[in-house]
Amino acid sequence: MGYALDNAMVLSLFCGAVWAGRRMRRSPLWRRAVEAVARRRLAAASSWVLALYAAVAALDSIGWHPVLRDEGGRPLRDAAGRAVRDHRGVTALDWLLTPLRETREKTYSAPFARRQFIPEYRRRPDGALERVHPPLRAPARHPLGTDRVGEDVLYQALKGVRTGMLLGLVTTLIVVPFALVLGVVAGYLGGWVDDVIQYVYSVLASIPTVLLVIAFMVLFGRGLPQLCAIMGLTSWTGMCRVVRGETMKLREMDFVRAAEAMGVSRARILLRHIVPNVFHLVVITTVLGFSGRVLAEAALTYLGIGVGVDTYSWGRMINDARQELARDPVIWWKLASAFAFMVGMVLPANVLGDALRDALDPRLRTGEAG
Amino acid sequence: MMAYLARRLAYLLPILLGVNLLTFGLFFFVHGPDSMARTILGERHVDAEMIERWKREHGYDLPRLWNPSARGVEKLTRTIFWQKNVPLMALEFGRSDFDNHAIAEAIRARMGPSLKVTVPMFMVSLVTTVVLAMWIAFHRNTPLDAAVLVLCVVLMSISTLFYIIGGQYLFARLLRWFPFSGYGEGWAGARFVLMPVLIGVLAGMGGQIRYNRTVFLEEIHRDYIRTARAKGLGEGAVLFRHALKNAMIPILTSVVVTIPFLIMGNLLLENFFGIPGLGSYVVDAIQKQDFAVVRAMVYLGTLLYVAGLWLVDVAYTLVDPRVRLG
Amino acid sequence: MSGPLLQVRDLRIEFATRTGPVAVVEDAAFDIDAGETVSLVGESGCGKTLTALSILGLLPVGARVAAGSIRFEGRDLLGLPPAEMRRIRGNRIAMIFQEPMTSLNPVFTIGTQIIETIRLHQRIPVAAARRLAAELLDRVGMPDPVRRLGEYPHQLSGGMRQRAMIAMAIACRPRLLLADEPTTALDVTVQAQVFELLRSLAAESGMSILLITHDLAVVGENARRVAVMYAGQIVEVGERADLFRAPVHPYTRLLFRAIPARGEPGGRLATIEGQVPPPTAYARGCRFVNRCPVAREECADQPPPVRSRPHGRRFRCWHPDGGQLRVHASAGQPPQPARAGPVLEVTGLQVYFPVRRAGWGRSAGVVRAVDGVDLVIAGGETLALVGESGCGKTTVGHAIVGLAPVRAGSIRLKGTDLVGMSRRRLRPFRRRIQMIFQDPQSSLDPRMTIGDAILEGMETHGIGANRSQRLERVGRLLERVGLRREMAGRYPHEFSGGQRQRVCLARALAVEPEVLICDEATSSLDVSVQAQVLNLLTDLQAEFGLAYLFITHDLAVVRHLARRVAVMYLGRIVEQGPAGAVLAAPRHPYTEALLSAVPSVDGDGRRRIVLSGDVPSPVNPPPGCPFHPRCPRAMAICRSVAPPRADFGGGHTAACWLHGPDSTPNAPG
Repeated sequence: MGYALDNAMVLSLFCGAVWAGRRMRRSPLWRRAVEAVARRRLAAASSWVLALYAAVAALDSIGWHPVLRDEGGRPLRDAAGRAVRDHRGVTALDWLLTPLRETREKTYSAPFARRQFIPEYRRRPDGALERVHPPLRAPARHPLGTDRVGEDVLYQALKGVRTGMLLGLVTTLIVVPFALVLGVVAGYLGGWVDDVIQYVYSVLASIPTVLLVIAFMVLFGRGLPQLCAIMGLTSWTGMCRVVRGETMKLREMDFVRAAEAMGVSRARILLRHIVPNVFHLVVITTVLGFSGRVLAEAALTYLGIGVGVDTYSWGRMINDARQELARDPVIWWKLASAFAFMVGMVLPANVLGDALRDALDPRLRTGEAG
Repeated sequence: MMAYLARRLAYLLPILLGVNLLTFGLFFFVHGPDSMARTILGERHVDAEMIERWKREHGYDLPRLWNPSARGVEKLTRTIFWQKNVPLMALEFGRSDFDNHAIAEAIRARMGPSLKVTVPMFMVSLVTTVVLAMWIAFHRNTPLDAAVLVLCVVLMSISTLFYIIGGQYLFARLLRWFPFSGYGEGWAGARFVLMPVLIGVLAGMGGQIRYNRTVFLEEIHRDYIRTARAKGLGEGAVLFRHALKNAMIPILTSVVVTIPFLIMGNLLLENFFGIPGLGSYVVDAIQKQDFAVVRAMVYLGTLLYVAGLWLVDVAYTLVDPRVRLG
Repeated sequence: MSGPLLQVRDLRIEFATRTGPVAVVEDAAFDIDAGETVSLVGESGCGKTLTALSILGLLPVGARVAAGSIRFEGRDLLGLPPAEMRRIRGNRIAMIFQEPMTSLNPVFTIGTQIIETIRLHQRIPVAAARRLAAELLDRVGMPDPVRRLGEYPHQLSGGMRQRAMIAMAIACRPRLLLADEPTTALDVTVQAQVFELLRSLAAESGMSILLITHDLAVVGENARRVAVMYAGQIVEVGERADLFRAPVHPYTRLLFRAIPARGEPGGRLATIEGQVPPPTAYARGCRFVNRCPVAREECADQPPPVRSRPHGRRFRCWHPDGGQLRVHASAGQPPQPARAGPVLEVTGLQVYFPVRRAGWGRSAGVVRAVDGVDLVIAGGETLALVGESGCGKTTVGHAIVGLAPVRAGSIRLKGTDLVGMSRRRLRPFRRRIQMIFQDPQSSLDPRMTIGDAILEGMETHGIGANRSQRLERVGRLLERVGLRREMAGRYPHEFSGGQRQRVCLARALAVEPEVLICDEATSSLDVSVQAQVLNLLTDLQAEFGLAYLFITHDLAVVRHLARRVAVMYLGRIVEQGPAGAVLAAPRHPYTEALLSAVPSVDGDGRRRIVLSGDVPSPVNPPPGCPFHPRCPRAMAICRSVAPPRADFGGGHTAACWLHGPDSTPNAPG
């Protein structure tokens, strides 16, 4: 499993974020928006929480294949003399969480427990059976307990962050240029170009999203890349429609008319006048769609068409944990952890999205107090 | 007005055609019939002969779009496209790839149970969200309003799965108000449906109340409300008579679009609570990798959604005098 | 009951902001007697609307009355319980607003809304209320009143909607009517109708009116007493005739000098330096101190006292009659002599738009926006194009700069026909004709600095050898239009409306045009700001020899600025000629009616021609002469055959059967 792609992705995202930050600092609109968001405590807190999640996801995306070593610490070598690398690969997050990762219990244990949750039966010296809860290998070291196969739940939840982030964010980043260009072109040029683009996105949008996702996943199989692809395909239409609508309004504005009367080329008008004035909608749509996609992943994984079995995700955690609630005494920690982490990412995204919308486009205000 | 509606209908038909083509492309060019057969028969113990037999049985032993070995018009008609996809437009869904049952019959049988869940959910949700949104709009800019808004955002941030799992745990296991799951015919079976409806309403409440509230507040800030106040109307009359009627236009039309789609049923709810409706039909088909059923349901779903879009146009002409008489 | 009907004293209205309450109206005081019309006049942002809203207790969220009293029929309205206040609203005091379209509920019929008002305050059964509603509509001059009861607001024209609002307002025979800019959104001829209606209603029932407006001419024709507001304070109050004849406060005096109607044709208007200060930056002393030409030291530190003069005149100034006002008006310049030959010739211009409906768009009718227009503009001269909404004047402008598709006709720029040219061939010509738009809010890209906006044209046409030369030019242009170089890095929202129009001028000048089309360029500006911009236009024309096509509905501006004028109605030019001739002795009945409808500051008691009906829509123009349905002198032939153009010499033409070949040209009696 090569990490080259992941590493490149993280690096380019980072560079992109820095570049975008610089551009925004120069623009008064974005500066004011950031100030407005920072002023609202809830929104500011939300952005910090999301930044934390993003950091975890980034750490989980930088990876390498460690060299396998023997007991003496010397690297193992293969027939040709090259160092043998662990084909499974390890990410920066894994490396940080090594203690959690490497201590596996046998089975369930409650958060911070010292002993196993499931009792075992042992024979006493006098031959009678007794029920004991054997002590854990790493007592009180599992903050969120362990699951059926003894894997640490906190570790699983943290690994799931990357899945959620990728689905929520990266999906849109791939889709944005596409939706932006088509929307702007359709809105500005009108005529048959508009009709064609409208037809294309109407066809796509008419298929109920859930069914289209199902069809896609049934055909292409489970997996995170496929899920990202189909989510991108379905979210493209919404953004394109919004961008097209706004472009059509902008087309009637006097400053666009003035540029046309000046003889400015159409490409330049699109680039310098239209795109900067619709970009805030792109940002708003992205942030607001983020939560929907993360939430959808849980449902889709449950239905069996989400991520693959070897990808960590909160949806998988919920799916695995579904039966646990029926037990007596009930095992709740895996489900609760997935719930908490998921809400912990989606709620700040919603709050931030609202704040951004109020700051960037007062016409779309939801009427939040303040 | 009729001409307008007819024109809107004509606009939607090419979309259906496009969807048909798209699903065809998706289903038959991504996976040829060979790999479909392989998947269904199970990856391992298949040989070419079994594949051919399966294909013959299910009608997939034809070329996809164009049959060069046939004669005349049959070059077009003796193809998978003509045999399998075109009939979809006429609502002939064919037979299942998995166990060869008639899909159309299954749909007819399963429509009822789905509706038993979705229709009550729709009506209860509509009434409660509108009433609650109006009430909170009346108390706008108070701490109560702020608290409810926060609550709505929190409710919106919770996955439907949690509502279902948690709801089932709370209502069925702890409180023992409803049975865990299951389904029964007629009025006696109503008790099986209550919990799914309740959970469904709760899951969608947060977002819908917020949206309705936004619509109400937008109306309240309009000029004609100022005129209404200048006439001497009290806040109650202003909100419930003047603002409400205008606000219902976007709210109703956003809701009307989902009416035809109610037939499809809610996938998660039906799967979880064992309701034998169209939703669980789709879920079963996913698990069995039954492409024919999935294809049919995708098409049916689109058809219903598009019907909903047209219904929105009808609703607008009925409800908004500017459209009716402008 | 003795004493005034309405008595406002020491009124103070505050807005809650993040940094504490800000007073937007302070120390306001005026009276309204029974049966009289009082006008509250001022420019935008002076607080006049808020004052009116506070009378009815309708202040927006965040604003409140912090001090003062509003006594109506002896009772202080500010202390009344809400239920009592509701009994007064719509009943004893009624209000009509500026925008009749948005002020009426779109989903209720007119009848429903009027009946609602009636039954709210009077116990009468529905049938009786319905009859009363029909009578009211009839009283306000609504044609076919019974049918209108069942119609929705969007089915009525702007004038009819305002009549419906007036009917609703007078339904319970209020003693006081608050009218907030009731005609600002309406055409001039409709405006005349509405004011005539209000005057007759007031005379008939003894109703008092508080008329809020920014238009001194409207005040001149309607009000008996005037209160002038500036920066949240009433700076002068008095009887209208007296105040108009001899204003005392420097602001009032400058305001009168800034009106185009009072200016010398072709000369420069008196302007007021600077801008209205925002409420957060009001000076300690007199608020007008930064702009006052006769300000002295004490004006900045101490708020001026309120002084009185005979005839109920009160004002707030340290130095009333403070000597000659230093005004930058020069003694009238002669109108511009025409340079060699025409620079722009429009012949037979036709612009039709399809009426598109939802769906895959098939045209269901045509809007004949421009239906055969001929215009000639000579170098260095100004041609004014006047008309009301829907007449097509804006479309003519758009067609000339290439923003509207031309169906037929030619547009010659110094001989070259621009119609039908490909985009690429047209491009070098585009710099020679530039346009200034009406709305300063939307005419500049909010995401671009003004420097970049001005640069864009230069970059497109390759003016200036390199970037630094262009930047230098930007700086010079900004200075030429009265701004500072350093402002080039700022964004549009940091500028006021007037300043933005200057930036637009700089942007247009950057490419060295020969023709400038001003499409209602000053219509949304305050009087004092308009004066500045008009002066700038005059100067630029003299300096660069620009030809102007000045599109406007404001005849006063035409009189001041234009050498020639063309009057448009429903896509056609009905009269054209030298401004002096057309305005003094109009030949076409429409021009006549238009001129007589314009309110005049000096209130000269000329005969008023009030047209019936509303401005028609260009979708279905009537056959023959487009004006015949409203023309007071329509003849049989007018209904079927389009009139030919009659020539009166000196370039003055009019298209009317009254001057047709078989009738002797006679001046309208």
